Amino acid sequence: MENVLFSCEGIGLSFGNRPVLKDVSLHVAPGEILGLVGPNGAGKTSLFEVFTGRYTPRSGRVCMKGTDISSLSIHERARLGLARTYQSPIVPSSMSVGDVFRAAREAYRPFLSRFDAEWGARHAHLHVPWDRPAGSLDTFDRRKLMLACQFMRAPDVLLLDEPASGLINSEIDTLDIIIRHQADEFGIGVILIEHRLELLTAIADRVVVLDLGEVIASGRPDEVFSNPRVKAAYFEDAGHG
Amino acid sequence: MTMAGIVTSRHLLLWLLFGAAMLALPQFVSNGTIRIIIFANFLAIFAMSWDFLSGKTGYVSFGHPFLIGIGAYASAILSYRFHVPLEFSIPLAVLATLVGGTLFFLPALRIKGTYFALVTLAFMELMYQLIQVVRPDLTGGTRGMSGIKTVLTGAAPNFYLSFMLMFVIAFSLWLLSRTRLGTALDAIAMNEEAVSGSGLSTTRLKLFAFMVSATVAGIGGAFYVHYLGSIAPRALFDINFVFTIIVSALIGGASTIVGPMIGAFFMTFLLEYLRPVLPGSERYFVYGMIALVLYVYKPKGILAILADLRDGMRAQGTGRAQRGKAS
Repeated sequence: MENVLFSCEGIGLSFGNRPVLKDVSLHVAPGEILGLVGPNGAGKTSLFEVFTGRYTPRSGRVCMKGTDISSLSIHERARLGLARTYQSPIVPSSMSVGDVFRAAREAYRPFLSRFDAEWGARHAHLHVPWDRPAGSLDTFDRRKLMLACQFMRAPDVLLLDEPASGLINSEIDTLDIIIRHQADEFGIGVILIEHRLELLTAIADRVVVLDLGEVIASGRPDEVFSNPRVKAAYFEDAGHG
Repeated sequence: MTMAGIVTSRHLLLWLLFGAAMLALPQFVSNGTIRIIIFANFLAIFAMSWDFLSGKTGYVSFGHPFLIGIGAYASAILSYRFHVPLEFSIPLAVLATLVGGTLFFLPALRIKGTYFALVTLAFMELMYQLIQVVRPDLTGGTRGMSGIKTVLTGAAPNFYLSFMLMFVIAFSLWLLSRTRLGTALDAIAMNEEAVSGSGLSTTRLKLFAFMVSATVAGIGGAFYVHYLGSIAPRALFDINFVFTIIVSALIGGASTIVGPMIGAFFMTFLLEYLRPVLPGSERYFVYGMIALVLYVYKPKGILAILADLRDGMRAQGTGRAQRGKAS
């Protein structure tokens, strides 16, 4: 707890009269991978939207590197070093991989160089010709492209929304290595959404379980997943058995 | 067509040919046709102006006559009422469009989708009503003004002027769209949140797009009024005028710069050649139908059809070459 990179306290969010998040608090340390887990509709992605600044919470605050960033807009938070990826890996299909990198490099000053892009691509294990249309890449390469665009900016906090969805097991292993490497080498704090528990035991240092907008458990993956409350919330409706 | 647009020597050659053809045109066709093309040139300027804001960012403006109107009225009033020479009245009118347009549209850029379109439409109506009642001694009220100084006289000089104007504007917009700002504006149409998630202020980007659009509309409006020599609110703030601009940009191919130019020429000639057959407003029904059909089957417009044709010809050519090799 003494070393907190990114945290939120008492986040409450509702759409109209329907509460989506209720008093959610969590934190992540540098180099730590935090799994955010919960059944469909638990509010995981909504919480990410609160982190990035797209949704304004009813209550609570978001802090990063010791300062309150609750009132900052999306792009200001991004410039502070808050990066996120989206669940569906949508890339501009008409642009080539190189063009996507160029657009990302020149998004704001100081411009990044081609070397930064190559560095990002290497760290994301992206090995495709740069003149290929981004739309022709498969799901994993698209994800890697999006990750590479974030890596080259050297973010401090990385929010990953279901990075493993649509991937086969061997690809998920590679993804784990990519993410773990970023956390270990560069001290990036990672928050990772995943609704399959078994995937998190391999990658997450700690997990937080959300159910119907509330944190119902947190701790080491094996401890949390044996928690009867988690089992009840999770296995009843998800049907994973 | 990739987004940035690849320039080849073939493109350059095509443009040079097009330019030469346009320069030689007044020698070959009648003054009537020349006047139609002048209108097409101006429509192309207005369509490009609309396209740089709406085609690129996806914020559909129904109020471009509002901007064109500021440019046209400002220059007309300055030169007609205060005898300001055109060299000063036109730049001042462009500046007025930029400032006036920004003041009015700035709040509107914060709202999205249909509401933005509605607010801009309201601005146009507002301008239409205000022009008629506020200081009619300056604006000429409902009857407008006539006998305004013209920049040049005669069909051919005006044709060259409007063509050069259109060409310079198109070239500048093309250069601008190749910069990182152009890429970012295209990205706003795809996913605005992702753009701001990349650390870019989308409000500032949209403001930039708007200011470019307003400047072009102001230039177009000011030169247009000094070509016509007259101005009347009913012709300018006409809903058909807005639709002609928008449909030109859309059926030509939005967000491409060349597309709105092609669309403007297509629309102008369509309307003119339908005039003898359908003299009334039925013409607008026909062009509405054409726009609708084109938009359903080819949402990327005439430019996409041309690209398909080119690719088809190329495929046929290579097919023939391969067959030639085989035999």
